[in-house]
Amino acid sequence: MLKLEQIEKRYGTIRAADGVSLTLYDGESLVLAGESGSGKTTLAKIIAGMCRPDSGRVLLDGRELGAVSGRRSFEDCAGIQYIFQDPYSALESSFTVRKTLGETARICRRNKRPCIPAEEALAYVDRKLVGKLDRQVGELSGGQRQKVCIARALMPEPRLIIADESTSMLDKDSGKEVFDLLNRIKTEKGISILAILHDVDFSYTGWDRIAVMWQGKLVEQAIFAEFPKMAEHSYSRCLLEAYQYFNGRDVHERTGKASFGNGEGGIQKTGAGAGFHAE
Amino acid sequence: MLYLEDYGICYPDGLKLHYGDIHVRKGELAGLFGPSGCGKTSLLESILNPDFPGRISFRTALLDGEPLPKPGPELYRRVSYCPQFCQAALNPKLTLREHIHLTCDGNRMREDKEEICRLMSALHLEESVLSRRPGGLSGGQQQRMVLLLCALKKPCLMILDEPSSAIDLITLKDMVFFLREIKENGTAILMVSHSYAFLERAADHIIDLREENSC
Repeated sequence: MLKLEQIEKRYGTIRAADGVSLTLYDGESLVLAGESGSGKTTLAKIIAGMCRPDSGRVLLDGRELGAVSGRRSFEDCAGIQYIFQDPYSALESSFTVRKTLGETARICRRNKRPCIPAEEALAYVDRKLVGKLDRQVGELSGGQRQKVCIARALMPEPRLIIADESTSMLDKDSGKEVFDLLNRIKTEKGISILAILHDVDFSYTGWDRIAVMWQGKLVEQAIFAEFPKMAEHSYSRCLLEAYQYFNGRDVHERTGKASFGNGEGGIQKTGAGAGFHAE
Repeated sequence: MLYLEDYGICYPDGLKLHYGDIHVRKGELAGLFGPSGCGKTSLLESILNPDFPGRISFRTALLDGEPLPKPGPELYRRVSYCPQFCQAALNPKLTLREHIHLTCDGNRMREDKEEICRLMSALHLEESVLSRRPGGLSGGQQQRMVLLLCALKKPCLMILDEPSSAIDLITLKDMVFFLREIKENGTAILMVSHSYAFLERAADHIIDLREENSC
């Protein structure tokens, strides 16, 4: 079980994480939703150890995790895998798929960590990709590259996979394939999934829970299927209305429109917000 | 504004992509839709990239009634482009305010503070972002910043490649209204998106490339 306790992170005057507490249970999938600049990626990077919080703790099974550059052990690093938004820059285009996955195997061997063979991980993700092991990554589509990233993340047999906007650069069909794969990994392998999304499909039934961030704060948490009925925060209701606007489905069963915003569904900014900050 | 007739591309490895007729009138938004790999970005690159490796064929190619210029200063003066990977469109060493100065200066425009504020408000960008460098912005903020710079140029044609990819649904909804305003000023917009729902709301007509090229 992963637990965040009162995580704070500032970039200058901007609060990217403002007292965030969150629990992610073993074998569950959690969507972390929110507008761009709300602090989602900051939180994900703190969990993965890529960023140090100003205060607060990240606990795995009750044990505090440090940042990767500090006190975090290889085992804890390998236990939390990160899939980035851009599959084109996450992989070296000139490497073959085999060489790409081979790097992970080599690192696990060097640190004496068990590792699923590359071909097995790739076959699990997509059997058709096994035939492309000796093709260059540059020849693959965005969806195929993202699947290679997922195979790479599976190899060290992690506890948690963080998928940071991992489908935003893919078409809808490829994106759904990736979501189905992540939820299959959760169900069949018991690996927890933290999916960061700014564009949530509320008709997708694979997710367990959703947490919503706004201006650095965690403002709402709910069972995913119940979110349309339970959502109370103004941002959440605007999100549901925007979903309805684009998808023509009435997922928002409350009466009355959300009162937050400019009447057109937009959000009025009241301050500097939690804009992303260079690290 | 943009009129391409019987337009096609042939890559050196023999891959052929055919687009048929593509017509974007003044004040209109044409959406290009299709799955990954069907040639959406290839079409844009064939128009904009001076190093495009493929051979282009067409019966007619016009911009505002005149032959479509080859990629170069004349084309770039009349067309603005928001790439899919918008980080590449921003200089990491310059603040966003400096980007705006460059855009206005490069297009011999007077910097209209009121217009800039109006565009920033429409794109949910706060004044505080102006003093930041691109590395200090989220992906969605960078994407909106590039859109702002594109709109500031007041081009006759705006080409947008997946402008919705890093933007949340609420901001996306407001972007629909933002694009309508751009059109009302007479700009023609050619927009690539893999989100049919977004195109349905934003576009006057949608060109479905699945019908042209099997992927």
